[in-house]
Amino acid sequence: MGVTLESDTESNMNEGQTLAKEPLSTLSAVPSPTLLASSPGLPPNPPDSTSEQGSKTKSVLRDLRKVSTQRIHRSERIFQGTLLVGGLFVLALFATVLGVSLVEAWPSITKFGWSFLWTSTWNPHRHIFGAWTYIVGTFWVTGIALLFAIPIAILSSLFLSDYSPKWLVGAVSTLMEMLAGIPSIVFGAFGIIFMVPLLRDQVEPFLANTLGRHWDFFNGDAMGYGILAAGLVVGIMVIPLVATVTRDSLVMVPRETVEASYALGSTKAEMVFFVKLPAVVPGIIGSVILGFGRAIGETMAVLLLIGNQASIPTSIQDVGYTISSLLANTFTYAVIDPLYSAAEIELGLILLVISLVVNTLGRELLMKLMGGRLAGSVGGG
Amino acid sequence: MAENVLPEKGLSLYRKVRNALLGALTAVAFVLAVTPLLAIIYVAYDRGKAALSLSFLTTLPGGFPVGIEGGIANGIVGSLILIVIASLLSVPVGVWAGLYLWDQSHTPLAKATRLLSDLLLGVPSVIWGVVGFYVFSTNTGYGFHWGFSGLAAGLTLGFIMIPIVTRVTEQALRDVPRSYIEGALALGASRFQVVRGLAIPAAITGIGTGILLGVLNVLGQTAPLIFTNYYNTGIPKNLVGSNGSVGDLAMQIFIYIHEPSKGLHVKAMAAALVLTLIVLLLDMGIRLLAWGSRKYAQRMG
Repeated sequence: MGVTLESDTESNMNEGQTLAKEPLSTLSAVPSPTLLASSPGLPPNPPDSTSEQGSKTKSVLRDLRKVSTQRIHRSERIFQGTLLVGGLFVLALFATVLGVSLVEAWPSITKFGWSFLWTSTWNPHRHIFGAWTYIVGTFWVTGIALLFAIPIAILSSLFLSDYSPKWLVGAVSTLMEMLAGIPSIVFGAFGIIFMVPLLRDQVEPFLANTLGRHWDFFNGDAMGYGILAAGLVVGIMVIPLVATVTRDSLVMVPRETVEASYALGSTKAEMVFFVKLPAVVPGIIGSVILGFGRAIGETMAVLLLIGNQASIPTSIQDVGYTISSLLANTFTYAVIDPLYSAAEIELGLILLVISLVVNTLGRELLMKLMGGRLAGSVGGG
Repeated sequence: MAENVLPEKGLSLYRKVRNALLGALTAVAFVLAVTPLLAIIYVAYDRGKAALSLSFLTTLPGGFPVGIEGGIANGIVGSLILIVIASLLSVPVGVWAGLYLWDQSHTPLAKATRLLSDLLLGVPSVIWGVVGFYVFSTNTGYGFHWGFSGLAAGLTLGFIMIPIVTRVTEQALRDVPRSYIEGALALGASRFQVVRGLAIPAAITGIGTGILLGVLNVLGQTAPLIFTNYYNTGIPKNLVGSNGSVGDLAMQIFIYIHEPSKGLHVKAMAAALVLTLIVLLLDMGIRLLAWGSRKYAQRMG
C-alpha cells in the first residue's frame, strides 16, 4: 500500500520528465538510512544491526521500521493535504467571485429573465432595467479599440521581428512590456488632458467634413468625449499586449520556413507577409482574444472619456456608456435599492461571463502554442 | 544576417515597390505603436511639471477645492498601506497555492485549480470591486461590515494579487531543475524538507518577482477602490469603520482629473507622473531581479 502510494505521488511530481521516473520511484519507496537515522526513536541502520544482534531483535527492528515507514507516509500525506488547502483557497476565491455576483444579482435575474439582455430601458425610478444600451456601448468601445490596436500591433511586431536593427529590438520590446504596466487611470488622465482636446479641435471636425459628408456615421457634434476617445485610449493600452504576444509567436516560426521562402525567390516583404504572417495566425488570434478580454473590462480610462450618457451610439462621435463605467459611476447610489443594485450586478455578471469565456478561449489557444507558459500580461483597472 | 543581401536585381517594378511599401508600412505602424505610449509620459511631465517639487511628495492636500495646495503625501502613504495589506493576504496564500499546483500538478483537482486561477487573472477590476464591497464593506447582509475602509480595499487588492502570485510561484518552482528535487528525494528527504530546504530557496527570486509583479498590478487599480475605500484627504488613524478610508494615488488622480479646476488638473498630471515613475521603477526592479538570478544561475553552472 505504502509503496504504491509513494510511486503514485512520485509520478505526480515528475513534471514531464518520464525518463527519471522509474529509478526514482523505486529508490524513494525504500526509506533510506539517512532519514531513519535523523528521525528520533528509529532503529539504527540495517548492516550494523545484523552484525551485532540476533534474529529476534531483527524481526522487532523490521516491525519498528514498518511503523516508521508508515509514520513517514502519514506525514507525507499530511503535508500533501496541507498543500491542498492552499489550492482550496484559490477555488474558494473563485467560488466567492461567482457566488457573490450570482446571489446579489438574483432578484434581477428572476424578475427580468432573458429579456434583460435586449431591453434598452434603464429607469431606476420605475424599476425597469435592461442591459442593451450598456452591452452595445461596451462592444462599441472594445470594437474601436481592437480595430485601432490590432493592425498597428501586428505590423509593429513584424517590424520588430524582421525589419528593425538588432539593437532596437531588445530595448523596444522591454519598453513595450514596461509601458504595458502603466495604470489605466494614467491613460484616462492622458486622454482627458491630451486626446479629448485633440479630437474635439482637429480630428472630429476633420472627420465630419470629409467622411461625414457622405456617411452620417462619421458626423456629429465635436465634443471630444465619446466612444471614439474611449476606444482610441483603450486601443493604446491594448497595443503592447497584442504586440508582445504576437512577437512571441513570430519568434517561433522555424528558420527553415523562412529560408525556404527566400530560396524560392521571394522578396523580404513577400517572405514576411505571405509566409511568416500566415504561419502565426493562431498566435495572432490568441493575442487578439487576450486583447479583447483586456479591453472589455477596462474601467477607469473609459469612465473618464466616454461621456457617460445612457444612449445607444449611432455615430462614431457619439457619447455612450459601458457596463464597467456604469458600475464604477453609479453603484454606490444603487446599493440603496435592492433591485437597482441587483440589475447593476447582473450587468457585471454579463461582463464577467464574457471575459471568463474569452479568457478561457485565449488561454487554451496560447497554452497549446506556447507550451505551458501563460503568455501576455495581467491587469486592467 | 543573410536577409540583408537580397537578389533585388531581376525583380519587376511591382514587386520592388511592394517590397518597399510593406516594409515602410511596418515601420510606420511601429512608430504609431510607440509614440502614444511615450507621449503619455511626456504629457504627464509637461502638464504636471509646474506642481512637481519635493514638498509635493511630502505634504497633505489643502486649500479649496481640496488639493489645489499641498501635495500627495496622503496618496503615497495610503497606497503603501494598501499594498502592505494586499501583500500580507496574497503572498502566503499565493505561494501556498503555487506550491500545491507545483507539487500535485497532474491531479484533476490541481488542473481545475490552475484553470480557475488563470481565469481569476482575467476577472475585470469592477467585478473585484463589487465582490470586495459585498464581502468587506457592505453594512447589510453577510460580510465583514467594515465600511469604506483601508482594510477592505487592501484585502480586495489582495484578492486580485492572489492568482498572480500563485501562477508566478508555480512557474518559478517549475524552473528549478528536476534533478535537484529528485536527488533530494532519492537521498530520503521528506517532501516538506525538499520544499523548505531546496525548492523555495532555489525559486526565491522567481517568487519575489511574482510578488513584485502582483504589487505592480494592484498599484494602479482604481475601480476596486471606488467600491471599497473611496478616498481620504488625510492619513487615517485606524483602517476599519467609517473613518478608515485611506488616500490612494490612483484615486487621487481620478478625483483631481474629474474636477473642472485647471489647478487640480496640473496636480493630477504631476501625481500621474509620480505613479508612472513608481510603476516603471518597480518594473525595472523586477527585470533586474530576473536578470541577476539568470546571471547567478549561469555562474553556478
